[in-house]
Parts: sequence; structure tokens; C-alpha cells
Amino acid sequence: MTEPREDRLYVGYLPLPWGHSRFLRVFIPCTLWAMALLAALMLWSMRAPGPTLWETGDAREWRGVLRERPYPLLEADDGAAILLVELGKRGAQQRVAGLDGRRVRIRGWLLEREGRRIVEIDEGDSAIEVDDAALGAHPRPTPRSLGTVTLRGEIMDAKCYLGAMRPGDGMGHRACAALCVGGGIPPMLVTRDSAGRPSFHLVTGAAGEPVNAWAAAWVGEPVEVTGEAIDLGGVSALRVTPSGVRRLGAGQ
Amino acid sequence: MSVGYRLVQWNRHKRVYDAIAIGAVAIYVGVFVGGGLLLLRGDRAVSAPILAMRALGTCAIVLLHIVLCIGPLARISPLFAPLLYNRRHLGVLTFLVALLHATLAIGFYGAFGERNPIAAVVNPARSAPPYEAFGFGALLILFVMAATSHDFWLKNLSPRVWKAIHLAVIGAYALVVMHVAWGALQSEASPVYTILLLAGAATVCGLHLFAGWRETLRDLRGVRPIDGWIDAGPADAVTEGRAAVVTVHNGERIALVRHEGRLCAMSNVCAHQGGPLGEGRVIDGCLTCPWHGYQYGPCSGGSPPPFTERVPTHRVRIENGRAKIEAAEGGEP
Amino acid sequence: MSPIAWILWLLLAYLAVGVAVGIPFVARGVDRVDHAAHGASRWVRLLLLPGAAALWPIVLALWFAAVQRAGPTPARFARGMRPLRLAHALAWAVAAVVIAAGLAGALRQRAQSTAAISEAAP
Repeated sequence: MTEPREDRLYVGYLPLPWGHSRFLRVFIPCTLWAMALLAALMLWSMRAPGPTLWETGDAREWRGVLRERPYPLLEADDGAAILLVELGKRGAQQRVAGLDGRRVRIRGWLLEREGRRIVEIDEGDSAIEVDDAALGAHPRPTPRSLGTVTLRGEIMDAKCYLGAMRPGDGMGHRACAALCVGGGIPPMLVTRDSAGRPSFHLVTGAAGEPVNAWAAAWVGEPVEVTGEAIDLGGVSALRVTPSGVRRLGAGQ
Repeated sequence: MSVGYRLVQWNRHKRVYDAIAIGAVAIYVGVFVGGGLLLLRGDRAVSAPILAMRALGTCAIVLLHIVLCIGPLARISPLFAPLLYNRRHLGVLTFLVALLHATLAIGFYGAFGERNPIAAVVNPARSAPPYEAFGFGALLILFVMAATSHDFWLKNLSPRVWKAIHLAVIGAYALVVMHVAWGALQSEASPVYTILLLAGAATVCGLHLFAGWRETLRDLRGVRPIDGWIDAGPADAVTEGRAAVVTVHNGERIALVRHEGRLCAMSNVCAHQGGPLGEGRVIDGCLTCPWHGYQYGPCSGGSPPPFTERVPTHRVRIENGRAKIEAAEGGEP
Repeated sequence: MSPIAWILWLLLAYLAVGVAVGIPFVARGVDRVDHAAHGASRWVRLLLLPGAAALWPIVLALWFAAVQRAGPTPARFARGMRPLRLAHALAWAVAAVVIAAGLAGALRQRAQSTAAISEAAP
């Protein structure tokens, strides 16, 4: 070892030694390519959020009969049952208070997924107009019990899942879903059959009351819900007590 | 080396380093977001803010893996030294990318509601483990590390305290893995994510365990001094301009360096960040640290003026062809 | 309030105190603590502010010591790295176990819940 070997020590403020230079010329491009490849791989592996629709542009108008409970809902003249929510992450409970059973015109934007619809009501007093002559002329249809059922799926905040966010479900979206449901957006249990077809069930309390406060804790993860299935006329609901919900997995 | 503080002690290597690092982030986020907007359509389309959130989150994780692998790789091969040189900037960049990810998550998932957005995301109503809080905890650790990365802190906290604080990155890494495993991985069914996370964790932990094992073994094999002198092996094993590292039984390490034919000894621990001086070389008459190029007179232990760094020196004598280092510090070499 | 909410508030209070301590520290304290900081630009001082806010108890101790001594912090040799090396190796060993356990738990949770969902699908 007669020749000095200083050249093999890398020092940041001195010229790059030949050995390091040769190594970095291979290593850095490989790392950059690897990063691009990783980005593409992760992007391509993301699950599909599914078919949703969120109408933008000019607000549209719907007519029908308003129901306050369990969650604000419009029985539209065409027979469809349309859930109602506010802009942002808030339910429409306050806006529709006192209008139960009244015929109304509602202006807003439609969100829809696999047949289930929800309307985001426009701002301003004119967005909901009562247009009936006979007050309370539209009595609530009697809820029809379908018996006790046990279903497995995920409790969604109806607004995000039906189209406000893509994806609007799953663990990544949990905080948003908890905020939405806690803020009054209807909690909705979504189950899927073996062919992937969904069914949607509003989650209510044992007496059919809204349960936003405790349902918010169960969003974003697979759960099993046991309760009484109710046909509200175009909408299915589950009457559940808090003990009727349990997490799936975790040492069952 | 420190004579007066600058924002960054720029030099060409740092500029090139930073340009490559920022370029790598731009390539990653560009491919992710650009590809997502162009290629994911119809049922596969993802909301733009969520796409950006995912791009930044995964990018921060990739960067964290690179940052964490540089240390043990540089212990294994000196070829990785240039990556170690400006690792702090890579760490700060990782924090900034993670901060953007968190800002988007809080701004998109936490806003427009009736709660404080940060509280809504970090602490949502929930029954499953709080993976959001894991991510937030990791971000806080990365913040403290980025905030104290300037040489002012290194010097004034002392390299030991500074290094101890920066050990917290290990906790941050564990929290990040939990953030992903109990968060995204619960709903993203693709095996790609599972395999990547497992491979990443195995690589990072494996490299560190391997390097840590080697260092611990070296410490355990430390030489015990006899009558206050440490046997450092054959004197002619240390060639001109180079140094050897002698591990003492108490875990101290001493650099034995030959300069202009003479053997001198000084602490192996660089005053800057504790780099291994004995793995450096004599350049311009000074033993030069392989980490950041801090320099010390081989026999004086002092940095050349105007720099003021010093490391303790030890006396050396040669007995029957073997170099002996005095265990006590100081004294004329 | 939940534990996490408490932690968030404590954190905010800690950082608020940190900024209150940090601003005078980067303006004046750094010069007392470290002579090399004399003449440091505003940008350097601004760059030191987040660190001062994050570590304000240590910053106060450094500052107080410098005032008592009427001089900057004396240079300390970075020796005694062995405890740090050991702590480093141990911390990674603990982290590897925690990470392995956490990953295994998370993957088990996912597998079981996915199986439970598909088994219930009509």
C-alpha cells in the first residue's frame, strides 16, 4: 500500500471521488426510476370507489312530501325516497323542522349511487318552499316491521358514500364519516351480496329515533348489526340499540 | 464547521443533493397525481384532494424508508457516505411532505363540519384503534427533529443529547407503520400494499438490527488496558495517512492515526455529530471525518483555525513493535 | 373530554409557551448561549424558532446557565457514545418487535373481518 488512498474518502466539500461517482451514477437514476415505479404501482393498486354521481352546476328542484324522522327525507312525486342533507357535513334536521308531512318544493343537488339518492339542499330560505293547500294532508305511512335481522357491512355517512367523496367509505375516510354522521348526516348500513349488489339500511334507534351521536363511533370498519328491519316506504331502516352493533374481526 | 451560523452551509454537493431529493418527490407525486387524474376514470376515479393526500402520504413513507436505510447502509459500505452527508435535509423534506399530507387530511376530512378540524381527524368518534393519532404522533416527532436539525442545536444541546432526541425517529417509524396497517391497509385489499409495507419494515428493521448487532459485538470485544495502557496491535498495521479504530472495554473508541510517519491517538468521536474519525483519512494534514468532513490535527486534536472544534487526545508509545495507547486522555502525544 | 383531546390541548398550551419563550430566545438568548450566533441573520434566527418552541424547557435551562456563567455554553466533547449506541440498538430491537406485533394484529383483523363479511353475504 504505497500509493495514498485519500481519494477513496468522500468529503462533502471536496470533489466527488471516482468510486463514489461511479456508484452514484447508477444508484441515483435507479432510485428515481424506482420511485416513479412505486408511485405507479401504488396508484394502480387502489380500490375503485364505485359508481357515484354528484350533480354540479345549477341546482335542480324536487317536489314531494317531507318526512322529518328518522332522518330528513323527501317522498318524491315520482315515488322515489330521497334523503336530504345540508351543504358541508351537516344534516338537514333544523331546516325541515316543523315541515313533517307537508308538500314541499326543494332546490338542491343530487347525489346518487346504485339507486339510492340524496339531495344536498341549497342555501337560503327559498330552497325549501311549502306548496300544499291542505296542512298535514299526507299522513306518514305506517312503518312495516320485517322482523329481526343480523346484517354485516359498513355504516357509512350517506352523503360521502353516495357521491360527495370518492372513496367515501373505509378506514381512510373514517374521521370524515364520523364527523358527517356526528353532524346529522344519516348513518346508513351498506351490505353487499355475493354478486356485489348493495342494500342500504338507515340506522335508527329502537324507537325509530335518529342515532347520529353513537352511530358515529361505528363508521369506517366492518360491523355486524342486529336489529328490527323496517320498511319505511321506499327506504329500509334498522332499529338498533347500541349493544346491537359489534366490530367484526378482533378475536371473535 | 462552525464559525458563525448560516441558514444552510451550502456547497455544491448539498445543492445537488437537495435538487435530486426535491426532484424525486416531484417525480413521485407527479406520477401519482398526474397518472391518477388522467388514467383513473369512471368507477375508479378518485377525488383530487384524496389523490393528492395519498400521493403525499405514500411519498413521505417512501422517503422515511430511504432516510432510515442510509445510516446502516453507510456503516456497511462507505459508498453510501454521500447519501449520509446531507441526510438532515432529506429528513426535513420528509417532514414537510408528511405535513402536507396531514394538512390535506385535516382540511378535507376534518373541515366543513361542526368540530375543530384537527380534533375531528386526530380524535374521531371510533371503536377501532386510533390510527389517525398514530400518524399525528409520528408527525410531531418528525417536527421536533426537523425543527432541531440546525447545527446550532447540535452544538448547544451537545451531540449526545441531540442524537438521543433524534433516536425518537425510531418511534416515529413504528407509529407510521401502525398508521398505515390500522388505517389504509384495513380497507385497501390489494396485496401490493401489504407486501410493500412488510418488505419496507423488514428492510429497515433488518438493516438496523444487523448494524446494531455488529456495533454491539465490537463494543463487547473492547480491549482492557493493562497498567493504564491499551494494546492497539502491531504499530505498522496503520499505514501513512490512515487510521485504525481501537475499541476500549468501556465502549470508548480511539482513532490511531499515522501522519508523517508518526502515530498519534485521539478520541474516535467527531465533535460535530459523533462520526467515526478513525474511518476517515488524513487530508491536507488533518484527520478528516467520513461523515461531514470535520478536520482535526492528527496529534493536537484541534481543528485548523478559524475553527474551534477539539477532540481529546491520548499519548502513544511503541513497545516491541506494538502500539500502546494511554487510556487516560490528554498529555503530550 | 377524551384522553386524546386532553393531549391535544396540552400540546397547544406547551407550544404557546414555547413560542413565548422562543421569540426572545432567538432574538437575544442565542447570542448569550453561543458566541458563534453573534451576527446571525434574521433568517437563521427564524429557522431556530420552531426548535426553540419545541424544546423550550431545555432552551430556558441553556439560557439560564449562560446568564449564571456570564458566558456561552462551554464546548463539550462528544464522548461516551456507547450508551447511545446501545440505546440505538435496543430501541430498534424493541421497535422491530412492536412493529411485527402491530402488523400481525392489523393483518389478522383485516383477514377476519373480511372473512366475516363475505361469509354473511347472501
